[in-house]
Amino acid sequence: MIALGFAFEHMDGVTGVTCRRAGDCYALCLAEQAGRTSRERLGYLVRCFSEGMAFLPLHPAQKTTLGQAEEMAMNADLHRALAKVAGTGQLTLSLAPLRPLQNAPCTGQSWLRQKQCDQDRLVTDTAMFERLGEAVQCKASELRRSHHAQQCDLLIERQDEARAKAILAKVAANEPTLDNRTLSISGLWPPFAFANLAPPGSAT
Amino acid sequence: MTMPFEISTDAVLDALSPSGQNAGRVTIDPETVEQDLARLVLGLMEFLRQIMELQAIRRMENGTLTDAQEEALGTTLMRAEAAITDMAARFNLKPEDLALDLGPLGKTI
Repeated sequence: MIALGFAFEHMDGVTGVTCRRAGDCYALCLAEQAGRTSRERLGYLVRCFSEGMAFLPLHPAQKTTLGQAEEMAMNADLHRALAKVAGTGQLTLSLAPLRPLQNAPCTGQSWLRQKQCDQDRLVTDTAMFERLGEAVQCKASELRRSHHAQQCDLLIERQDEARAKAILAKVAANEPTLDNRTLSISGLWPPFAFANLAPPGSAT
Repeated sequence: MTMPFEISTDAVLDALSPSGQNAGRVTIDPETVEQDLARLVLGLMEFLRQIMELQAIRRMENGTLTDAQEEALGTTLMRAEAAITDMAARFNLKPEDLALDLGPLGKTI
């Protein structure tokens, strides 16, 4: 069985998701074959979230077995963790270049100068994400970078989704550092980036 | 005026990118121990490489490097980055997978 998260009441309502006792709470579970990929796990998490279920979500990118969830339930303060994210969801902001990435620098000196530009851009992007978070007056995750985009998550109250998106659109439209790049927003997702749940056996 | 803001329909990729406090945690799984160890070792190597990269950029900005030194440092760090990326790929690891979470100190990458 694959664990999706934790609930403090027995829940039904989403086909394929069952509740299994884990410590003094319940683990929301899927059959192994239904939750093999992160995309599948995300789909079920979104369905549970859309049904208005109150639960503490595990990150869909991480595959957590029922056994690991049971161990987490014994060792983590799940009640406090759920209280922190109850009634919330997360919006994910992604910043990617509109133009294709430039050709890779071919000399050591040009490579180093490109890295210098990347560092400068990271500083301005970090400041921009902070401004967006302040505009919505919400908690923001750390900035993370992939090869083609920089992203962060914003934790908002579920009923504030429309207001938050409207504010972000207004602030982003006047954001000078966006330049030729596109800022995308996705969500409202279950707040798995803020659930602060570590699988057992993990370091740091 | 073009609005630089849009609602993305490709939201799944955004949500599934490594995020949250668990992104950099190193899990020890008997079935994936080789990949876990590779992630730990290569993550530390990439962390050290990036520290040296930052130091090189600082020296370049301060004007304490000659053109030849910039070229030598840049070439060395560029090749080191490529070698680490290549080794990571052999273990099915992407560059962003090499980020390690140091708790209160933040992430390495």
